Amino acid sequence: MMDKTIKQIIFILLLSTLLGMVRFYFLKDGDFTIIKIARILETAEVQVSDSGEAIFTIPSFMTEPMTASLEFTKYFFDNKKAVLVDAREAEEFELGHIAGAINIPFDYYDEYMDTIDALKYDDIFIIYCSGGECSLSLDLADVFFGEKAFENVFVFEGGLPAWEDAGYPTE
Amino acid sequence: MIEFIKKYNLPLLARFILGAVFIYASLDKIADPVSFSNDIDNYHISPIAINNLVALILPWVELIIGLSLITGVFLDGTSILTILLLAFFIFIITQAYMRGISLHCGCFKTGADPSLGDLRQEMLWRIFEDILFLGLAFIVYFRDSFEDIK
Repeated sequence: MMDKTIKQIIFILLLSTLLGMVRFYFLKDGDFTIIKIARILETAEVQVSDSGEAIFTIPSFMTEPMTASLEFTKYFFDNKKAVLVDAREAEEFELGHIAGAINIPFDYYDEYMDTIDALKYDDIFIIYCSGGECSLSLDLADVFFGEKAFENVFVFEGGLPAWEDAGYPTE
Repeated sequence: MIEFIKKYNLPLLARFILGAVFIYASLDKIADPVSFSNDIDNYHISPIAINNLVALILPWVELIIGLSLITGVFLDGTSILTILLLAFFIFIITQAYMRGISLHCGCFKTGADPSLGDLRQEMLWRIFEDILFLGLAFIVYFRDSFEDIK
């Protein structure tokens, strides 16, 4: 009886694995790999009004952090509506950062818990680091969104290099 | 209680309800494993590396379970798998809720559904729902016991 049950369970799991692999074969998504390398975040959309102006809106309901483009970040920087968070180490931060940004190094975020707890959970946070392969901003975004339950968390993937290239204010 | 279960043939009813639920739950995830994988990420309990694999395989397990429950094929294995899966779902949503993580559970539809409103309330509702389904799964598992009672 038990032997039969176990065989049935194994059969169901094997068949599911086979069907899953067939599904993967037909999946038209180049970024989707069997072994997941990194999270693929959705990008916050910038809509264009009838008069051609860009409209920047925060989704009313976020289920995970989103990525923010350079123009998205600049818009919220100009309006002072967002808190920019630099996830790099303090020494790098001292050498130069986006004007007005605060520093919470992901590698030592436990030591910055007082700073994090002083932030308002419903503010808009745009987190960045050195762009390119740097994943500190993504990791810190997970802390903000997952652990601290902050509602509006964005990752500016271009980071400081993209900001500086555009000639935007740093300090 | 036993009389009630026998009178309304509850094991059969439980099979059909659970079967329909599992089939319905699997379809959206089979169609969009990418979003489902992101939903799994949000639980923060598994290494990211395996989440795509889970997102590819788990929906098919649900579909096969659903079909088995309705057709009555492999009912012994299916009922145990159903109990294990539901217990696992209850555990992962509860741990996320207690850790203060607000997430879209990915139970039925992948991605966010703004009509659901408060995520925390949705999570509680899903836990409650899964406990009910777990009860039904036990009825399916012990279906023979009900028939033996004179």
